[in-house]
Amino acid sequence: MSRALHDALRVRLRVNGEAFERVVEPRRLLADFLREDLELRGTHLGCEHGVCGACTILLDGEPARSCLLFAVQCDGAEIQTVEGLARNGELSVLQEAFREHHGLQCGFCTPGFLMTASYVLEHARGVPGEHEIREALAGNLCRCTGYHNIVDAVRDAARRLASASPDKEG
Amino acid sequence: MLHAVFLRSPYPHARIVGIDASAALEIPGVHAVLTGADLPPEFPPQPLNHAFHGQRETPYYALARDRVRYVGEPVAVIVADSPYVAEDARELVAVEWEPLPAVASAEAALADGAPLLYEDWPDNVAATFETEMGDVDAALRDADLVVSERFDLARLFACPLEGRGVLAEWDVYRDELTVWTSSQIPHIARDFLSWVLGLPEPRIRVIVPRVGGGFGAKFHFYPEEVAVALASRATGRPVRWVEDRAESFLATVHAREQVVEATMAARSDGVITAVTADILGDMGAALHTVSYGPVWLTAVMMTNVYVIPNARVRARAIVTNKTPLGSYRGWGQPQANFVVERLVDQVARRLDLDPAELRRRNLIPPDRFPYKGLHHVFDSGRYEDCLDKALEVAGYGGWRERQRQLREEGRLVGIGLSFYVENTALGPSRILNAGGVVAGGYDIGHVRLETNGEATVFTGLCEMGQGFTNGLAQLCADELGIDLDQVTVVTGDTQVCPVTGYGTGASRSASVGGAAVGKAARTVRRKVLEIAAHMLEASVDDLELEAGQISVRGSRERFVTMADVGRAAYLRPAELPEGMDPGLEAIEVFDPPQMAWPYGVNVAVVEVDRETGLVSFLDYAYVHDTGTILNPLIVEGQIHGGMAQGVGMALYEQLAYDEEAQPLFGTFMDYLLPTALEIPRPRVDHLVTPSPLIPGGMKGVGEAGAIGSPAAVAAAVEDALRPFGPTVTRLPLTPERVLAMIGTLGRREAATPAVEEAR
Repeated sequence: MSRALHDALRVRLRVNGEAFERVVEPRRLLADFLREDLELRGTHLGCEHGVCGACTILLDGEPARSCLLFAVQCDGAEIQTVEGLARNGELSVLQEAFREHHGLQCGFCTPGFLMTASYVLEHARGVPGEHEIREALAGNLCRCTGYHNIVDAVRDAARRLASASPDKEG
Repeated sequence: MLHAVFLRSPYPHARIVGIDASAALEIPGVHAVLTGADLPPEFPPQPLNHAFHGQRETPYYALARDRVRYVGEPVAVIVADSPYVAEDARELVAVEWEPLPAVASAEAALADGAPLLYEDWPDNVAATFETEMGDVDAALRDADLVVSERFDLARLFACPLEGRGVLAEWDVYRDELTVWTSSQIPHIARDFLSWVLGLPEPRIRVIVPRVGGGFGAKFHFYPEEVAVALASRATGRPVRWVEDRAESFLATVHAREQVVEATMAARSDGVITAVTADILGDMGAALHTVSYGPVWLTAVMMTNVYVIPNARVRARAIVTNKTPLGSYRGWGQPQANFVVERLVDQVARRLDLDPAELRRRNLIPPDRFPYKGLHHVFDSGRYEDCLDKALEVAGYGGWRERQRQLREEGRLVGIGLSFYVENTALGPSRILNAGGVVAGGYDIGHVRLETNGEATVFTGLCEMGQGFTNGLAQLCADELGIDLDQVTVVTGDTQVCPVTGYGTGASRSASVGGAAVGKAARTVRRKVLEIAAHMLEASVDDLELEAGQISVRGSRERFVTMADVGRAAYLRPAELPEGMDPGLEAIEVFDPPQMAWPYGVNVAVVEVDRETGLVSFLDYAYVHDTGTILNPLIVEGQIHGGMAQGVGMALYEQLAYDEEAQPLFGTFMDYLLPTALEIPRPRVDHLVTPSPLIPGGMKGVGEAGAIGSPAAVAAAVEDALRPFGPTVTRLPLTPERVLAMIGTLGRREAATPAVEEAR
């Protein structure tokens, strides 16, 4: 073990708009940092090798696996986690759609799906088709639902968002 | 709180010569390293929930004592301030090993001179089960047609996306242990902890929070649950262990793996007259919590939904140097379904009959229920109606027509169907106990109407995403005439919740658990009405209970609310009828008279890419009958999820070992779970034939989707490859295997080179 691995470093970043500053080991995973140091336990760890997508967060607006990042790599970054989706006790349109469509069973993978899907909805031009949604979600694993209700939830959320802001249509 | 990590065996089979943890203990922040040498000599092995007649003992311990029998077996637990430090320390624990020869498959374990896993045994056979009915030899002799195949089903695992986790807090001064664990069996876990640790059951509290998927893998009592408790006792601190994915592949039970040699006999008119099966279950290194239950279930399900008067089965449970085998959605039923349905398809092929028609000629007719087959008694069913509906929903005739056209264009399109039956509502206790289960088949429901008129349901069942808490809340709300939102369901805490006989498995939550809760809610309802009658000065028979109000029939203005009744019961007992005790709660038991048997039909339409060997879906229909449906959304969700796992079994998933029993897996790059792109969206429809055995008529649906789908997909692929003539007998159908069957990647030995008539 090299010494440097254990020399703590200062990390300053913003999570869901709030500024945080902590001193951590360089090897501390971003996922562990979020869950243990910031107590934001909505981000789940399903594989720790970047395949299952449960730990997906948005790093400077782009989806990223928090299990494949060190906290120190994110110094100065803007991070969004699943805790940032609901506002003032109100679920987001996407979260509400997951609930209505039975888009989750055990819910373990759900934070990752929500973060991936929120990125998709943010950048979609119009309402994405079923196959487009399935391709976008193919980097997230779910073992409970068989995916169909997740796809339906995302599609329904996209429709609702499009009709709420008609300029996004087409 | 301290954190534990496990040092696990890197060898499939080895003797532990010595362990030196002194360097690890030097690391700042390391609190303890426990090994098998720290267990007292009389420390018991891990208990089993199933003790079948004649099964051999395969003792294994919370931490291996002097010998390991699979890669991943826990050898030491390292406790430190953080998992990072504990993992550092693990690198410094020095183990001296003496590797032993290993066996990597059931067949290798049976070979002459194979290394023995348990030296006091004559062979590697942990148990043999045999049963038969009718006169099989005569049936085989008299048959117009006999088909025989050898089937190979890969080792898989349930793979819940959330791994296991244990947090133990052992208060040595109060002599109390609290264990939070990711489990489907809190009460069984509590009892087992008591037996192993020597602490009385009431001193142990097992709490199961919401679980991130179980699918059977958490219906097991694991060494880590004991070792983490021991670590808490040793350090005097709460200790947490969270399984990571890499160890989950090795340390959580595997499932499914079997080799089955089976035969089916039929008359020329398609009537099946006999079935035989010789099953080898690869149990891995030891019989785990449920013993060889899944292999036994495969054996006794070998007549499926058909009137087959003659049957003979043998199942052998074989130990090998692999992770112990255990439960996974369906237990042994997907394997039995695969074998029987594949044989039925071979009979249809040989007789040139449509597979749907052949099935129709053999289904158990409605007037034969309750029907006693090879082992179980089936409660009810309208099998032919279900088949008709499935063919209609699938557009079966239309697909056959399209298939002809597409084949002429050179496309490899296949249609496959399977008929399944699912064992649900497990109990009853007397059958489980007679079969060797060290647990009951009942469930206990506890319903309490609170002072505010809302209800609380307490159940020992565990919520892991299947949604039964919603179903129990519905049943309770319906009985008590209150809103769904006014029912709170409390689950999985042994100090608060009633005992559940068997645990959360075998698709029993809605049926057995639901019936118990419904019964308790009805008892509460009766008392509510008695109190209300007294308050309203009316007769109970004249009261109506609706929308949280009890009113006198015909004069709606005369009413009291549930909250009025709740307050009277607890806060103003003076308002109760003379002689009535305060309180408004009931605990009721339901032990089903028999198991319930939902059933259904899968119809898969696939296309095989002849260049890549990849299988894709063109259509999928799923028609089933699970009795009364409490919540269609949840039932359909269970079908979707089970079916996805069945498709995974059919096409993608396998835990492969090399010949030395070293695992060839360890990440999601080599164990392929299907994604949103691979799973077909089924068109689901249903019949409703309420179970005559269950108050409310619910059967169960938890495992159904996983049982029939592998056989249907296999049949569809075989049908698509009809121009090349292979028989699909192995899963998963990887592209390599498909290409081998097409003949572009080394022809499968048994495949006939002759190209069959393409139509």
